[in-house]
Amino acid sequence: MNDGLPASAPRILLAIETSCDETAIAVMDEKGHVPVHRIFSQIDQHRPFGGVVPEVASRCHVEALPPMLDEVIAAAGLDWSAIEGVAFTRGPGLATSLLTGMASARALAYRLQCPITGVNHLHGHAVSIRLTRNGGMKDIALPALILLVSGGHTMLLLEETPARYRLLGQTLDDAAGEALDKGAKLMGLGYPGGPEIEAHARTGDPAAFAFPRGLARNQEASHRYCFSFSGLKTSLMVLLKREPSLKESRLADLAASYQEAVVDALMLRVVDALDHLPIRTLACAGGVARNARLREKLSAAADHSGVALALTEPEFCADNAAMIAASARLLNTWADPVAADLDVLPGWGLGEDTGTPHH
Amino acid sequence: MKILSLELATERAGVAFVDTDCPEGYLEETWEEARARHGELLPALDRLKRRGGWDWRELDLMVAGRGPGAFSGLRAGLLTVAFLAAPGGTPCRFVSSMEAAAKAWLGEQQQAQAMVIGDARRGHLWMGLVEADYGSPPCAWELIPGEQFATRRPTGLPLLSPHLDRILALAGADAIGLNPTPEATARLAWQREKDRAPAEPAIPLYLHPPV
Repeated sequence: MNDGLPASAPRILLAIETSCDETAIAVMDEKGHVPVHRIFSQIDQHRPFGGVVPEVASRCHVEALPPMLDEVIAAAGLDWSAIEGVAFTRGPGLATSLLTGMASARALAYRLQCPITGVNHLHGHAVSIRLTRNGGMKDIALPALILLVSGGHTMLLLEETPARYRLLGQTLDDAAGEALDKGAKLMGLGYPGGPEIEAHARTGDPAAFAFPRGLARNQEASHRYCFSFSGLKTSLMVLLKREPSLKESRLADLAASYQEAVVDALMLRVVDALDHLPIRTLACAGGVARNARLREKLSAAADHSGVALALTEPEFCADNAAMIAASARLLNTWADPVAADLDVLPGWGLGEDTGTPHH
Repeated sequence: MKILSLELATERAGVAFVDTDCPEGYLEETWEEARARHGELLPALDRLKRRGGWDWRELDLMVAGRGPGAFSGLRAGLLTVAFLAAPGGTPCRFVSSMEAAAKAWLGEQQQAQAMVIGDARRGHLWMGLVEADYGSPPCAWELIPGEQFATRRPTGLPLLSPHLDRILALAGADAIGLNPTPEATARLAWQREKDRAPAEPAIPLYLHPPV
């Protein structure tokens, strides 16, 4: 290391993700292969509250991180000196959770005398479409349209040059995953709501109930690729207030129809973008990208439009550290861990400045 | 024994390198940490390391204070020690910040016991009775509503606190100011290590439930 910066790009990276309720550490080699990654999901700790409690999340990170580090290094069969760079999630996310990852990453990088980088969590999700289970990172034909859908975020991105993004639109209220969580709660299902709704939807009729699909298509230009899910949730609430017995008598139909409305609201904007933008790849990332119905519809849309399909592999859809390593690898912007101005950015967005994570 | 110690329980944060073979010999870097971001932690540690000229392999023990105190600082301290120690497999120990500070104070004052209190936020105080004896078991800290302190305060014992203004406002208590120091934290951890006392968990003394 020269003045805190590497003479060349680090080969072996260790990445730490603590933006919300998953504690994750991964190792990535110089080819983008991820020999080991671990995720500790705190869902059981948050389930009693029906959602993520920031203080619970932060406490869980403190307990999970040190043993996970030892486990990852042992599983990778690495000597500590092999680690040449440390990446961590700098934002967006819960401030008290982000701070645990930053403290850990800075300490490790300082101890190993290697550089550090603070990664944008959303950028991590966006580049997760490149991750493969047993190979390195795959190439994506650009421009790519990326639907990023999770419990906290719903956005449509255009990747025109490698790992640089233009935000086409995003949700104006709830995220898609949040809409599924809230819908599941109204139906009396457990947390997290997405998998619960999906499980019940398998035997239901997606056309049984007519739920709204969010914003009308004749929106003003600035909202053309934006989403809205608050009306959908309200519609379900009104229906169940009028007919509460539906939760018992037609739960599968309710779940299937509600899921279909969420997926359709997403697909309306995706198809519009495919029809009007010069896109070569349709991609999807984030926790909701695991939803089988969404994957099926995205696949059909890609086929219909004649573009390549790049869906994040299910193992890398939820928050994970492999995607943080991938982002660090692609952006390759490193700093000295001693730099005092390295801080978390809880409200960090994703846009054209994402390639410059250090301010 | 050579010890690296971090103390981030209060706004007066610090790192220290303590060589127990030299009773008066330690190096310390302190700073005021107002934003709970601890951006100054590694620069201070780096200065300390350059001043002391020690190598990671020389360290016998790494230590961090568990509080009670500011949660973000305690988390940063515990995780920093854990991640600094991991590559070399250096043993770690975590002890109560305020217990360590109070024991050091009691030793200087040649007194046997003190009551230590602080502002736990949400209208509560944390309090504990600290013994001067380094062989005593870890202090049993408890959380009480501020207004109950008057009935719980033992008579004839010195009252120590890092939050003089806040506890005066919250409980009407007039205390002697005492801040945790990384040197005191290191010395308590060293004593516990020598005594082979059971390890305390590597988690902050939150006292408050998370919700």
